[in-house]
Amino acid sequence: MPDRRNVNPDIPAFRILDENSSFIYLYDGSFEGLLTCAARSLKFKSPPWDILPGNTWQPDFFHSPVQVAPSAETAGRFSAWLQRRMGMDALVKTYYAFISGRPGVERMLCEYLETGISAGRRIDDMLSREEVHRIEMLAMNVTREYHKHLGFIRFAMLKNRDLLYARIKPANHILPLLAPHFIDRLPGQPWIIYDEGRMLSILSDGYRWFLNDQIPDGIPILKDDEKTWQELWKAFYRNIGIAERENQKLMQSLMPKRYWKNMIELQM
Amino acid sequence: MNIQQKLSILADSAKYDAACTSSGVTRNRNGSGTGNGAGSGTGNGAGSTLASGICHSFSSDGRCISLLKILMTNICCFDCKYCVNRSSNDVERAFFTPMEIAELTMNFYRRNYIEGLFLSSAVLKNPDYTMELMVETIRMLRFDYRFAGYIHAKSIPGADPGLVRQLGELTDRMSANIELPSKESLAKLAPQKNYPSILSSMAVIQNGIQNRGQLPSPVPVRSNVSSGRSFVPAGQSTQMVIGATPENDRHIMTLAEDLYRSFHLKRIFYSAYIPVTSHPDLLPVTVPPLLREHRLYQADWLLRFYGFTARELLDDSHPDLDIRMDPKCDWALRHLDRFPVEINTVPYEVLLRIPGIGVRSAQKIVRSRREGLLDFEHLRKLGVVMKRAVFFITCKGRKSPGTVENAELLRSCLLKESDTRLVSLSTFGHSQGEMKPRQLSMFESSPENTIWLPGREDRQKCLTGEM
Repeated sequence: MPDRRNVNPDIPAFRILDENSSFIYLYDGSFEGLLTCAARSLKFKSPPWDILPGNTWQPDFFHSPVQVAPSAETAGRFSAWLQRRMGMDALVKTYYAFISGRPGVERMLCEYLETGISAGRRIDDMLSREEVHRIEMLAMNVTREYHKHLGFIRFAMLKNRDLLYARIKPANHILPLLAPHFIDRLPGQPWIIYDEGRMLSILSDGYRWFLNDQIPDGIPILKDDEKTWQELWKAFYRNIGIAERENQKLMQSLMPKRYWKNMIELQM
Repeated sequence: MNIQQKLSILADSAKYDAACTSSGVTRNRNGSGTGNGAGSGTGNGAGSTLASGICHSFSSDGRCISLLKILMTNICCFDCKYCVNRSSNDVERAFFTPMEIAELTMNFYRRNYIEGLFLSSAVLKNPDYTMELMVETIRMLRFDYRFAGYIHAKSIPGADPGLVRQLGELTDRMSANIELPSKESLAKLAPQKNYPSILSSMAVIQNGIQNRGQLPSPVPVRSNVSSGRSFVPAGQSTQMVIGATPENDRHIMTLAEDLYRSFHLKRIFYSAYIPVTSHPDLLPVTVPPLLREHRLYQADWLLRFYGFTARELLDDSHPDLDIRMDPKCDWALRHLDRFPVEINTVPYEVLLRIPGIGVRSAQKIVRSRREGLLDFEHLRKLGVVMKRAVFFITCKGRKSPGTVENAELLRSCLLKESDTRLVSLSTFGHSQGEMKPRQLSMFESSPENTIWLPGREDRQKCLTGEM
């Protein structure tokens, strides 16, 4: 076991990507897929030039594509190893940055992991390094949006089995992060959260949840007294603001306009 | 009167209470939480809480809406002169039954409008009667509706300690409002309230907090491990009105310090006085002193998280916070002999005292300087506000080029930094009707001859008590 304090992250002992490589890995766009690629690259010590999602890849003259199928087993073992190596916090940040879906995030993550594998848990302190700072920023952005949505989501009760239904349009793919919170909050209550932008939804029976990419057909029909509760909430919202302190600018900076569409108190 | 009219009246009269936080407790299905609340898992209960709190919306004044903040009733037998609900005021009155409050809370909660309930009340008949009704309401929510979300209840001044304790066992946070910053002001403006009874309510709550866990819980806990009797797990807070009476900032901050020290309060809320009435005993205010409120919050933060004492910030020669800049900047300018400091070596406590560095960036600095010496560029990345910090620090022994040493010059630089020119008085009139905008000169820095207007950052933030 090498002494970790002496490992110099500027010369990573492990390479996931190599700029001289003649091939690229194409993966299916899932986190599992990306981890499978990275694990494979490390295992065979033949790093690709880049890792790209298969559906957005444009053929180029210099690199031949290699399709890598996601493997739950490889990804699982690799993430457990990463967790031991660089700690849970860094692994969580890796995942959060990944779901930001930023173009080119794969390359950023590979550079982050290279540093993390060399530096171990010290990576959490290496905020002045560019590759670490970038991931910290992305992860923070995702965390913020996720946290805001815990509050901003508005459920409406449907006629059909008192199902709660909400629509959101987040910038990041935060659906999987939201599920555990709402299961805790409303045990036994079935609900659906639909991400309009990605046309994905999570369904829950109040105990378990799963991600669904079927586009729901038909318009959800509200329960009879749903309008009453919405009107009551609007009345509360109108009356709780203090006119003498009015500050629309501050309000908008804390609750950006892009979220208003799905918040009923802002539909006057 | 229908429920919507009632809600409008009773939300409207509750809005002056600044507290709307849902923070301080984590409670979830795993039963690992420490909060108060009926357990569930059977499908009809609801509720969890998160230590960091969740804002569900923001009102037109930019304050966070986290809780259903209502009065049980605004029918009041007290006649406090600063209060909109005082008995002599001619406003519409309404009353919620416990069942109505429980239904509203549950239905709002289920739709994710709110994180819980903030129940306060005017004094109906007498303090004990009012408190009994509040206890009844919250008991109904916790037991009949099995609500495990956040509940903040106000202690009614002068109520029986037994009732305060009962309420404490059912709620997550309690607050007894101190209302005004001095005994004399309280006696003058709220003749039916008095300091000893408010402080004794605080003491009852604090006592309960210290002895929690001693007795078995009266509330069925979700987990099979009984955590013992819980008592206001998110702690207690209080509120005072600023600017209705003549106390200076030094008096207010010293009081705040005493309250934090003796009652271990989680928060003190300062509420800029909004004229709801005119009365000869009240200072004539036309516009709420929002900027002063903002500075008090900043100073309050310095007391709680930055290791400052009230005496350091304010003294006899300096009894009020400088309205033109944040209190930490002001303190640093009066202690220039302690600066500049070397970012790479000084301890955390010193980092916290540098203007432009907050708790978060100080922690980041401490962590990342272990991994190599930091430079100005790194600090910017770590979230340090360089336009302020740059005057007070060195990196690897160097000062940033272009910083000034002269105290007066430095003061004007920092004032100028708050963006003096682009502010229109109409959007931010804080009682300085006589101020006329004119060119700011670098060398006029005394309050008398400097035209100063709040910077963009302050203007935006000072209107929120939420920060």
